[in-house]
Amino acid sequence: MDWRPFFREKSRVVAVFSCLLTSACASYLIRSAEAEPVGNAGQPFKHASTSIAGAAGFSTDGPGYVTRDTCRTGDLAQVEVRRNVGQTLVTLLTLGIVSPATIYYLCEKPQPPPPCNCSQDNNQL
Amino acid sequence: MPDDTGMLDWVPQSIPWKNWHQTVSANIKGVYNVWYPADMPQYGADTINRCTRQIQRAIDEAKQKGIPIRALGHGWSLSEAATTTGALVDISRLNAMKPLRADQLDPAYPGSKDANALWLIQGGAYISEINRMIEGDQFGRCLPTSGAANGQTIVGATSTGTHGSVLKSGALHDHIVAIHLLAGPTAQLWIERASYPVLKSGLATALGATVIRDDATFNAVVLGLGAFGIIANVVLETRPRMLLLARNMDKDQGGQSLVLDAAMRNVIQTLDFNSHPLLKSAAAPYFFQPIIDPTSNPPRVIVMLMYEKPWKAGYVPDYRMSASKFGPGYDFLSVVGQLLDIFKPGVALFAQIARAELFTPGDKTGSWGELFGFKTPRTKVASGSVAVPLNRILDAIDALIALNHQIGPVPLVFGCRYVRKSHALLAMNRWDPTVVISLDGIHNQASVNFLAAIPAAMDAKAIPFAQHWGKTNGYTAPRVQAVFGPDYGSWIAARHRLLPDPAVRAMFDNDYMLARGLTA
Repeated sequence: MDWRPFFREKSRVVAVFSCLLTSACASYLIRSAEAEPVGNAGQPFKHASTSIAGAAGFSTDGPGYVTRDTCRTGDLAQVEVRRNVGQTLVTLLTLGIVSPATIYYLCEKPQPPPPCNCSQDNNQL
Repeated sequence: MPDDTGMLDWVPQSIPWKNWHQTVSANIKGVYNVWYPADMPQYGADTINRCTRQIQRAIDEAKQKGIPIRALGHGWSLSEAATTTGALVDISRLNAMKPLRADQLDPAYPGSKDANALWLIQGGAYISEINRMIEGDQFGRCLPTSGAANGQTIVGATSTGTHGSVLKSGALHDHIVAIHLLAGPTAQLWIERASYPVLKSGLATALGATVIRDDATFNAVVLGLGAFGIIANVVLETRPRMLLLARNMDKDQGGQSLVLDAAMRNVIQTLDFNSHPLLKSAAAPYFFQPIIDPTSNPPRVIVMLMYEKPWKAGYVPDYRMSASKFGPGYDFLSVVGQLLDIFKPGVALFAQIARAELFTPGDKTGSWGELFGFKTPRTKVASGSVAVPLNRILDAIDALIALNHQIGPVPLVFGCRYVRKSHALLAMNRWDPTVVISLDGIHNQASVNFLAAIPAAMDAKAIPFAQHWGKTNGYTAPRVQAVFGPDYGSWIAARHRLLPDPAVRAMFDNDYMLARGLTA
């Protein structure tokens, strides 16, 4: 096996590991098997949250909890909890007393009324 | 008139917007979210008018602010087609649909007049939602085709040319037969082909829309890339529901891996399934897709066949997302791509692992909506495609394999998908039939380089080709003109007819269109 290309590209190795250190190092995704997800123009909503001693703590994106009421209509369809290296270190160093994480979530798409196939439909429809 | 101001909200965006697959980002001013009326009225002209007023309010506000605006479905496109520097209008919450009645149809409508054959659908309905709705016992219909995934909105998918691999069908946009277009802050158009009238004028009258029946105009707007305004509603033709027997194969009768040998090449180019000992069958397949792994030598092939079967009384589709083999660390795929850039010998090994994990050989029966169901979660992928006439498919495959040897190996596989010719002016299914080689895999620098090199590789072999607007493509202004010829001019002319005010046209421009000569 030719390993030389691997070593030739040291700069790219550094780039990859830099990326690993600054991006999410742990994530957990939970998704409903059936719900149709909807976000903000296709993007998950973001909620940076820091739990203090098990309580919701503080957040830079509004109230500390993400609950079903977070969505304007319907339930949550997908929740992903991400921690980057820095957040993980803080959690470890404080023995979990301070536990920051970033939560990305999608809501369940609101469903309109079922179609009316009746003959006296409204407005020519 | 109800106070519908709550149907529209504006969310400023301070960080770059990213598409669903995280391959494209754009600095936008913000997002207009449009909501279905809170009192949940039936989907009819009144409801359409209420939604129209809010969408046009968004367009008008953007005009007042002097920023461009574009509609967005689910952000599913892998190209920059949906991006803007101004406002995105998220219409994905406008997802109502209903079948049209026979008495609403123009007597000259040439399509099926079966009950529930034609559906009026709001532009934000996901493909998955349409499948669930129409395949049930109440309506007994299904889509004739769709893309491999089900997360796109109906208008997002059709406006960018999404296709499947149904041997006797065109792409999804070829089943749209009427369009309700909001062509600015006040203009409303109901567009059909003159050669294919669909509805009596009552609907358009109820909407206050101007009726246009013109083939060239319809064929431009139906694959309009968001450049004509915002498509709020469409009429879609469906077919009677069916079950499909899906057969996935990667080995021959002797247990040897299928490879791109002479017999397989013959089937790929001729669609003569009886010429291949493994693929011959009493019935012609409804769907056929060979997937080639260019990292193996000889290239291995996975074959996906689907045969039409009658619907079974009492069958209840299960649309739930199947247990994913992606665990909590699925995002590792993004890292894998970067590692494979460095450690190229790992590409072939990774391809083998991925094939074993993601491909399940054997038979499975299900409805269209079940088989083309939910896919992996949001993660970074690479996806491009090149469409060629059937008689050049082998040349194109050979050119891509050679390109892989030249600049790869790349963590991509080549899926061959067959599509009938379209009337849409900018459709990539320009030949009858067209074979679309879908190039899908891990996003990294190698795959980016590979996708960028495709146009030159096709040119070097004098292979006529087109590309998918919603995937990574190598279109430039001269290339678009060369590929589409007079149809390009007709598309531009239709845009000038429908949007005569240059200021309004400019609102729906974006850099993607500018780079491809579509803002002329």
